[in-house]
Amino acid sequence: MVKKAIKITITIMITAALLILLQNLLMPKYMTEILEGALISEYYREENKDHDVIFIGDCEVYENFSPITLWQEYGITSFIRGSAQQLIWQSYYLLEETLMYEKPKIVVFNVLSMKYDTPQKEAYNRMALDGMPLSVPKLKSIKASMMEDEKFITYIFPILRYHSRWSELSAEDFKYLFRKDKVTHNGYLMRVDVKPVTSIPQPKKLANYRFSDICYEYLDRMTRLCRENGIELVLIKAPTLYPHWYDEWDKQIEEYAAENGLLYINFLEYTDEIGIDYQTDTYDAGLHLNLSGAEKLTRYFGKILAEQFDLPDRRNDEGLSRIWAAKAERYALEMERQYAELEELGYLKAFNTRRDEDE
Amino acid sequence: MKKNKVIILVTVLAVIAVGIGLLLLNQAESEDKAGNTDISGGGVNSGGSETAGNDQNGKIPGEKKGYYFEYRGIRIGINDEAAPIIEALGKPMHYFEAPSCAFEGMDKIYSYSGFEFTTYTKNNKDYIASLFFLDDTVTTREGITLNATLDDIVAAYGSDYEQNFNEYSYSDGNCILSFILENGKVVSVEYSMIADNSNGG
Repeated sequence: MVKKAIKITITIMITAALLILLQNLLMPKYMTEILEGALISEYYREENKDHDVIFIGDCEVYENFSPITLWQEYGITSFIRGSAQQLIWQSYYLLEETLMYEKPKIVVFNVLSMKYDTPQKEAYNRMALDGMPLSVPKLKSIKASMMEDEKFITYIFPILRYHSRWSELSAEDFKYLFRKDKVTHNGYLMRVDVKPVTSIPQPKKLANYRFSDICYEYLDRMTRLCRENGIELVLIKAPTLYPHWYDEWDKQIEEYAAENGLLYINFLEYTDEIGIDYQTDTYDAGLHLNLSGAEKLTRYFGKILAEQFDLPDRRNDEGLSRIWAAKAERYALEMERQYAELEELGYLKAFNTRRDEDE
Repeated sequence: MKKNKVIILVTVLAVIAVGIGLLLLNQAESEDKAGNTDISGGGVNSGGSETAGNDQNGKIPGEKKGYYFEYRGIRIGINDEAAPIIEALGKPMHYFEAPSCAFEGMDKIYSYSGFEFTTYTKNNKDYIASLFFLDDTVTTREGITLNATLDDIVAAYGSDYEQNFNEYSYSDGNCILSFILENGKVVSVEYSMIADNSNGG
């Protein structure tokens, strides 16, 4: 009887292992294109989850701040838990989940996502959620994020969503079946290319500028969660020129920050002080900063963080120095690689393959 | 012993068969639904309306009903193919590309004298996603422009509008024509896709 039970158990385990292997094979790897899909999962590979600062939010965090620069200039450790068009409820649950691993001194949240009060696109949901291991915050985030035609079970068993990829499997799927390369630098997705700003579209008038109740609800929850855990929440708006950040939106965030005793910085008001040059510091004509712009912004913000929040300079910590020296080396190598590729091809391959498909 | 091996083999095959069955069932359901995004590669940008008024054979539509903008005899309607329109209009005053995060699509914004339109891409072709007025040098076909009043709008389009705060919208099944008023005057005229008519914030 016992032997029979053991045999059945082993059979079930082998079957489950095979299904997991199949699932891993069929899921997109995000190693050579759409690198943004690989962002969320990289956090869990961090050996030393002890960061002074955690950034959460959309591409305006993962493209505009460099944790390596923050370390090198101020000895502040950080990680960016960003993803493409991350919605505020996804940010909240990601923060809740992060606090299961560590308790940073500061959480920095980019407020652009306050403009989205409904789920936007399955692709973005997948990029925010598929990289998270199963957890209660993940389940809640899935429920809050799903589009009408999505199914909850496909987030628990992604094989049910990606099975049709069997006909699209490539060498990448097999190469990265068991282990993926890191594509970010503590969550920062590097871009060294330059596309200057020429003109920015005129902003449209809106019928209603008030942020939705659901967005305020999640902002309140974020504020409360940080307060309960003794964490300083800092609200920011990145200095990107498009999409337009309305004065009416800015006023709401200012008022919210004042009512809740939070620091809010709209970096759009300080571009001169920061030294941002939109002819050289953006890779897509003002939507996001490139490496040059990100490092300038990080230097500026790092000073504020260090001075206003009394963050210690941890560069004297031997263990941390060793870890971050390795990170800095990888960062420098990636910079060299990107500049070389830019010189050879005129563009960065990893960020332009899909553009070529659409044109 | 032999009997146990048979049981194990049958169990494994049964589990695999159930798994394949679930996959096939899920695939059948997915294919029935429109608008599923291919997120593993070759993604599709925001889809256009499948309703009438969509000429995707490279021709500017002839007799069109419903709401569309006309500029110097050139008809510009929501979900119309953009290439022939742009060719007819000539080089824009400004052109702006806004790739979405992770390149999940690309907004292309063309500015001409008095108006601006945005396109979306579907099956490697660009279509008109929205059009709005930049100033009062252009009007709708029914004669409404910036600084018009609500009375002017109702006289032109009737009172069967949907109101959302100070926005008044009319739909023809393919396009939503909306007017935003401030202090009693029109400050915004926009033609947009039905799936894409959302307020900011």
